Amino acid sequence: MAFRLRLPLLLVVLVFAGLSACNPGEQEPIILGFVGVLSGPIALNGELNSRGAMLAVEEINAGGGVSVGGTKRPLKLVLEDDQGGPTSGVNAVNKLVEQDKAFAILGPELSSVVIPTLELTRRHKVVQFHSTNSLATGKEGVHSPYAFRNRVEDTYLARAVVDYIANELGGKDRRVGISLLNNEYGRTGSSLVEQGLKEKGISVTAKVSHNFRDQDLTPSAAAILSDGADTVVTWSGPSESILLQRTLKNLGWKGTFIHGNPDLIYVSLGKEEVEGVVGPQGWAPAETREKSRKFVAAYRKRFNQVPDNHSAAYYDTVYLLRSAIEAVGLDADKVRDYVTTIKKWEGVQGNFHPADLTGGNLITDVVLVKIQNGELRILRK
Amino acid sequence: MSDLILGTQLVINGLSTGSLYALLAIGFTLIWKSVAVANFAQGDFALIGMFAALTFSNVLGWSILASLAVAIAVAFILGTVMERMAIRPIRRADAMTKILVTLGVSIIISNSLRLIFGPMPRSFPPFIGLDAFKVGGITLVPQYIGTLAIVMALILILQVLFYRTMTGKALRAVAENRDVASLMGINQDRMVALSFALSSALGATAGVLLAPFIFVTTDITFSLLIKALLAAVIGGFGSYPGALLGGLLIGVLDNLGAFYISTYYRDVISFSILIVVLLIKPAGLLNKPVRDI
Repeated sequence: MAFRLRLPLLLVVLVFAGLSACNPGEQEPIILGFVGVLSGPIALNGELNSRGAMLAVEEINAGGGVSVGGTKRPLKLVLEDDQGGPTSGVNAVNKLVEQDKAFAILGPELSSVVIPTLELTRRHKVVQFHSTNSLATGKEGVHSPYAFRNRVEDTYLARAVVDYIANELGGKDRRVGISLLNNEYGRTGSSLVEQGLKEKGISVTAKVSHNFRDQDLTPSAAAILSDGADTVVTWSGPSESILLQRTLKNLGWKGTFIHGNPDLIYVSLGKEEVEGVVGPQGWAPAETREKSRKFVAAYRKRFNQVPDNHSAAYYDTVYLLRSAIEAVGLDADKVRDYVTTIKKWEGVQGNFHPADLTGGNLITDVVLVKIQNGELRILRK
Repeated sequence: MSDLILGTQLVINGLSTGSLYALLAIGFTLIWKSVAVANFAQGDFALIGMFAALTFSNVLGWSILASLAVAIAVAFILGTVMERMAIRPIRRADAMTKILVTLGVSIIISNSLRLIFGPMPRSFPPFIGLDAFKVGGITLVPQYIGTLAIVMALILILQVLFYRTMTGKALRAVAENRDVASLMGINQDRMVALSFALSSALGATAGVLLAPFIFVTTDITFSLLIKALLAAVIGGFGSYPGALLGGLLIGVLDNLGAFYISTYYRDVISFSILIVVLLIKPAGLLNKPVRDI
């Protein structure tokens, strides 16, 4: 009796198990691997980057997912921490590509981490969207055809600063001091500014550097004062830039201060000390375009804070990937070719036009912002 | 502003920052002398002071002075805990083991603080004042002057402790020779624990004094540790007056070198000073040379 009941019961269980395994409502997700600084000194950047990607993935999945071959498939974001180091970055990408089978890699951000991962994504033929501003990743011999930069490159940011000094601050009457963070970001960006100023005939009277987390910037401030600079451009982290400004002010300096990356971190750290500071950005939350306003509203609702350019870049990346996959399918070479030939794609940050650009660049839109009442106001685009 | 005035400015600010390196170096030396351990967590005690004071001030709403005092007391207790849990069990181990353990403690402290407080740098309210005033063309910031004064006062207090109190004499005895001190009836374990407690309190004091000048974040410990080590070695490893002199020298020469030579080679200048000093006086500036037997 017991045996007669067990067999039919077993059959019923097996049928239900089989049915649930091939539930037509559940599609295999498309894996997007995110690599960023999620711990260590600039973990905040990594957190902001991942939030932009997360929001886009959630929105797309709420709308049913990405259309691939007539079916909708959800996106799945897998986060890995590169700890700001190349070894960890390479390990993270390896894991995402080989273990998680990521279709695309989002990140990293630091150029020192991006560069070794370019070779990996090239070898594995995986599309990659990194967010370093640095020129080095687009150079011959380094650049990968599968890699794209999802934010505006330093060349365009530096040009905006040079144009501002030349056209709105009196140009050749100005004596400019440049302060840079002693790393690849600071050296490259400041060199672009210096070169641009010299081409316009504007004198660069001082060029000083400091290290990450230096505690006393009196030598840099003193050098700027000694050389008589009336305008200072910093290509540096927010803390160091604010400390320099504070030291200059304490020493009685009353010139114009321009920061190479005035984002919300800079504003929230500096508070009233950074009022009036001008600088270039790829995007600012004050942007009035509809796509931008919708993004700001959605981000605020999700994370209870105003987004910044880091988040906008990765938000755009996920939507761009969706467009590409829906157009050409889940083929890395086809997605690469699709993205490379885009002439006009509107994102939160502006118009993506990689067809006109080289080095994996996607966008060149720059806004010049000024900090007023604790907010980034757009001076001009 | 003339270069002479700027140079004087650099010396004044350098003395203030250097005095903080000196505090850290004295704490480092205290532990070295008591248990022959190079404490790589010394910079992290500064962090504990900063974050504890921030928490008491910003979260609990305590006054700045109360927050500072309690933060230093917290570090004092944590120093004792560190000695009991991490150092006492390995007191007879080889030097490399001791170094690794203190490195491990450093990693635990900084990563724990990062987990709790996050990566965002935070501003610390000045408790003396950051509004600069001029005296003869030289800019003086009350926080800088006050810091230097507080550190000098602390060093005087330490002098009194070490040379005028029984506890201080006991500490020095244990530092001189632990076994003989033990035979004389001095509780070795208690004195070593006190050394750690004092050292971490000194580190925390350096941290809370430094905090108003910078943005508080967990990734400054390495640079603070390096400065403390440089100061301790230049002054003469194991010498308290040497640690003070080394710290002040590092602070001043770092600034002057960066201004008159190049800001690009700031760290190179600091380490070059170390090499030059050790070439001329291998035992450090205030240490007597060790004779070969």
